[in-house]
Amino acid sequence: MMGLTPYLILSAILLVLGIAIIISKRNAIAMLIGVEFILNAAALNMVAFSRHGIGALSGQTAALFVIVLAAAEAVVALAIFLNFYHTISTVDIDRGDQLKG
Amino acid sequence: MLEIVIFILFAAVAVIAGLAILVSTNIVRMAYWLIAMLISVAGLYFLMGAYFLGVIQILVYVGGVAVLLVFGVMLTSRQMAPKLRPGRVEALWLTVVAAVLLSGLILSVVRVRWEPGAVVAGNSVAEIGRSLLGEFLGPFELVSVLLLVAMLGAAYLARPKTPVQGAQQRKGTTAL
Amino acid sequence: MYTYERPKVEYKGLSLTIVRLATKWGAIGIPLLLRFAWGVFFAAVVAVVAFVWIVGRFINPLLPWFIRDVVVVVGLLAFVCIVAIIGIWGERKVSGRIQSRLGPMRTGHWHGWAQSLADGLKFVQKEDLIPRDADQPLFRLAPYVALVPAFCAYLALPFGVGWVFRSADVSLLFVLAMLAIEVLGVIMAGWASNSKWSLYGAMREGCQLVSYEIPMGLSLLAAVVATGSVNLIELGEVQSGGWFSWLIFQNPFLFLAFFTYYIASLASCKRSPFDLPEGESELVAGFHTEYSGFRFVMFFFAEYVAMFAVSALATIIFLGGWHSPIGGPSSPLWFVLKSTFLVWVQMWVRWTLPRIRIDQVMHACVKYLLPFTLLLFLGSSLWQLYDNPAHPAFKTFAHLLHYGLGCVGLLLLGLYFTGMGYGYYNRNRLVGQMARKHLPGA
Repeated sequence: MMGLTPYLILSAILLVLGIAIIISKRNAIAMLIGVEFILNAAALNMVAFSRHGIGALSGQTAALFVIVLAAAEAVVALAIFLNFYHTISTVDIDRGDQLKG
Repeated sequence: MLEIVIFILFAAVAVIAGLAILVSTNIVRMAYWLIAMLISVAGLYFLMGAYFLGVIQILVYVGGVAVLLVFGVMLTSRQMAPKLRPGRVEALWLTVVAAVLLSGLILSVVRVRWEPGAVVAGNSVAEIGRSLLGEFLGPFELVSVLLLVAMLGAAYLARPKTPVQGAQQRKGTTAL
Repeated sequence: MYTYERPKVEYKGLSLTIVRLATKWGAIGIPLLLRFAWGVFFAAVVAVVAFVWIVGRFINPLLPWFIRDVVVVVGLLAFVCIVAIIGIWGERKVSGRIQSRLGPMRTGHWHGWAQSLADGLKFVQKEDLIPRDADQPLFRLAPYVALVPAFCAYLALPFGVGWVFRSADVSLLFVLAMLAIEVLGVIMAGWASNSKWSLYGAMREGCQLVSYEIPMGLSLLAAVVATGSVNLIELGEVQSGGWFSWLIFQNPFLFLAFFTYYIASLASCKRSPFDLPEGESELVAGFHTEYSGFRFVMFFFAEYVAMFAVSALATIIFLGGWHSPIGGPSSPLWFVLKSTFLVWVQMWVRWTLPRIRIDQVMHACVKYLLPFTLLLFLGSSLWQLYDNPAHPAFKTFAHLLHYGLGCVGLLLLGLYFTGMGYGYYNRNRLVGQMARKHLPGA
């Protein structure tokens, strides 16, 4: 059968991809997309552990909470980004340096 | 055998989606690659036997969060002209950091000898429900408060700052 | 006389070679094939059987379920296509009769039953236009993203106790999830068309669909609370005792939940009165303005397939599914009959009620339907809490209300049939002048 390791490796790859997306993109919404990658990688990890007996069903419940929290966070982040867009008329986050210096 | 093939299929779609997002400059395409990744992760949940979680992933994540992201993309990318690309030095740093992190994670995962426990099966809907109202009651209530706060906060943050045109004459129309 | 000269198409390169080879071989090959058509058919059957046998030698233990899966999926595809074709024809006949005219009468010689097939042929041979500035991959992908999830919803829909592709523990949520993915296809279509009208239609549709998923889900959850399972087969099997055991009559809250679910599902299928995304007189054609030919057919199919899917869900959960109301044997035919009745009511509502504006749509959802369905869910949960032998007074009250609601249902059914009979009896008087001489019995 499958075993635990492939799921953990996939989760690690998704995590690193999410971090790379956050680092490399200048569009605010692309950063949100990267955050979704990281959250999904974590949830996948938890469900994989839960499936192989470590922690009974609490992995799936934890992943459920991750999904709910990701939804709440996406809503608030998008509201902030829309505010940003209405003030500065661009979504380039490198322009958000009014507090600098 | 079939399980391995299906796992490789879904995992490949997820990883290719991530790489495509890294490479792409069109924000709309990025949003749809995210949707592809979310659906393939839902497929992986189905493969692992977490049926309820997979369905909730599609309902909430794809049907809610991803639609919200696509709306955000459509509302903020009116000017399609500037393609925001990272510079050369940034791309190099990115590759180095990503490679170091990835190798560290994979080595630490591969070297541990995981004890294969019993594979959890059964009616996941009823048991998740019981654990939500039993063991995880505290987090459940906190998450409901959090959702309420998030809704209020987002509605306040995204309110129109200037009064809507003609809102005094006609009651309750929006500019959509 | 003026004749239209079809513009000459110039083929170049690889396409030119293909066209030349095709015309050379086709001029000989196609008449030959038609001459030996039956022989070719039987040879193909023998080849398929041989292939399956050879493959079966290697994947022997998997063969029964593989064949069963393939047969069921092909059957579901056929059913879905037939539903869409009959739905389109039915819509035109129903709309015609409601508007005092006859609808299609010529194609196929009996009330135009072949109209959908003729439309299909017409659409297939139309020119495939894609706007130059449209987002090409997304434009091509969008009809499939709209149609495929609507079909995938049928994979978990039971037509009867043994008549389901995969009986899943979460089949109700699976059907809802598949219907939720359709939103993305429509938004993709609107965006990729690179046209203001399509984009407005797509944004309105996105708001509307996502908002109305909540009352839909909550109304169904009220029924889930009453039964204790999300499995559609169990939800159907609870209602196996004839008319009075249907879930719609169990509870006044469930009775109202059926109607709120129905209204929310009208909005979810983009049907009138929530017709704004396709507002035919306002936005040209909404999000599928730029789609022509077969791509448009896919969107059209997706609409009728989703209509039948939500009606089927209402049938299973509220109206007793595949069980007959008069206590005979349960069969998939009862299921199809009830779902078809709900689809016909959807068409009836569409051609009777006017379209409402987008802000009215959103107000109706958030200010009226959503709190109401929350109250229904709460009421249904409290009803389950108190409707047990520990509270005998409440139990008798619930029992009385149960049968009272059943009688109300019988009354409504009687009203419907009375209306039908009255309309049929006075059909010459009620219909306009032009259609009168074509009515049966005129």
